[in-house]
Amino acid sequence: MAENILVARGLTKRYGSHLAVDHVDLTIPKGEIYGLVGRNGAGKTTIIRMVAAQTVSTAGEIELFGASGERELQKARSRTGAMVEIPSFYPYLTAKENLEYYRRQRGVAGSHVVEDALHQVGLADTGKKKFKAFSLGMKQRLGLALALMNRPDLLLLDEPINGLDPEGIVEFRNLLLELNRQYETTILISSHILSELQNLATCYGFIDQGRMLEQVSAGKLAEKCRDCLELKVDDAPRAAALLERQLGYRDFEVLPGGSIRLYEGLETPERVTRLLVEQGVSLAGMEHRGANLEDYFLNLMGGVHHG
Amino acid sequence: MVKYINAECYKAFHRKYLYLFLAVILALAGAFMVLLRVEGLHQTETSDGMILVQRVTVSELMGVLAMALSAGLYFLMIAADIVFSDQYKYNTLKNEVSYGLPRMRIYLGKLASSVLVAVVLCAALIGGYLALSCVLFPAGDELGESARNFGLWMLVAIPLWMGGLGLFMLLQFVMKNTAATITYVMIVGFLGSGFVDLLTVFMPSLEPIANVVRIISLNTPFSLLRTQAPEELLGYAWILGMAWLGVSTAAGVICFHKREIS
Repeated sequence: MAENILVARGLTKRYGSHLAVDHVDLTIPKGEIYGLVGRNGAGKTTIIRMVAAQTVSTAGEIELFGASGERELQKARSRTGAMVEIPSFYPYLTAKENLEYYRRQRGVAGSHVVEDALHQVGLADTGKKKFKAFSLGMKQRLGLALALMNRPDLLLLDEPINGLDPEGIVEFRNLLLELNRQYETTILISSHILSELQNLATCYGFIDQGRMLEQVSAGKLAEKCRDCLELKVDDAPRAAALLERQLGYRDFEVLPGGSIRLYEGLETPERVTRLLVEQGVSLAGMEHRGANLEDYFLNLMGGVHHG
Repeated sequence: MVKYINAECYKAFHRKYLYLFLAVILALAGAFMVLLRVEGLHQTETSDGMILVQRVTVSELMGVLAMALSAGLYFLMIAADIVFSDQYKYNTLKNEVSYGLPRMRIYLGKLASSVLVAVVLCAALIGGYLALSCVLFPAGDELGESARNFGLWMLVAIPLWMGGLGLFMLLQFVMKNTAATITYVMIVGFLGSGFVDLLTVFMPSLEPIANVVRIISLNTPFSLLRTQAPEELLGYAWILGMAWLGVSTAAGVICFHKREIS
């Protein structure tokens, strides 16, 4: 069984009367890239901030690398790297000086780690340019360099590709994938750009109004998003038996509520219709379905919210 | 903690602000010295009625500096500000807490670093002032006695400065706006007794409270130095300064413990 890097149980955060995070349970096994998906204000950043000790939870428990309790968690956090919201540094220092400051503060051995981290994110040539003169993309890169400087076992990234140009996004993705493959770095990442998340994540957590709606692996999600015919029938078990016996279909699933998802024979739906009608199974509806992460997310949220 | 202080000092000594502040104050002190060198003669009447014209001496300049020690409270705010560096404005505290640095270490580390920066600032300012004095003016007959008195005045001032630093650090952590912090410290912390004196003119019933404020104001021992020997104020100054430092640090650590870091 894989070691769990991060476990949250009943994690709750209340701001006055507003419940920002509502009893969220979260488990991230070692080596996973966990994509946290949700609308603005759903609670994604608050969850990451609680894990990163930037805000104190109202209730619930966090376990990092098997450690819980305040002192143990503090120690465990030294194995993490975090980039939450807009990266923040001292504006009057250069990229190198900013990282050197944190290197000394964290007691990371060897001044070469600063150069290495800057090189890794493409900021090795910024010279004497102060942080205040950096573009948003450069700031994001420096934030990532800080998060990577201590070679973390867990990366916490909140909207990390905001401000990056297309080339930067590809570089960033490749860097994360390389870290994940080469060092088995576990990553918790939230992003609005779902298509980008789909290129990275190995599992997902869907969150809305502070509640965790669903946690699903990328494999399972791909399966759920597969093209299919969704049949609404009055007798699903009988219909399933007919599909198997008469048409030889085996790739389908019977859902609760009288629906069947059929993953084969999509090009000849009339065969299915004819069979069911001839055998006296009432067919209330038939729909061709297929989804990407964005569609799946919107379906889960109950459609697009207007106004 | 040593690593934390090392990092804070690295940052503080990479700020132009610190060197600019030192340069401005030393330039002002230099201008004051040059003016005194050119015009600085004073006349004293001897016992036999002769008028003696004398140049200002290093001993006298030490006395001038001693009378200005209360200004050190304001200079220390600069030291604390250099170290704290608008953490809330730039949101840099999140980089520290998310790495798991204990909040107590962050608070005490910044306080200790402020003390170190303050020591360097004091040494540079006082050293610069005294060095200029020695270069431009004669020592004077009572240099040894003046140096001893100056040392005693410093012993009175140091705990009060530490108390002021503790208070300023507390307010830096609690209040988000540095300008508001400075204003608050000046009114309540350092000028508290003068403010209360003014209030009691209009509201005499506040006199008992005013007395307490006068006793605990960090400025009071400096005012008393004008009329009392520094030896007599040593105990009072150390108790008062250390009490301010202890109470403000304890309050700061408690307040910062659960503070939201954005």
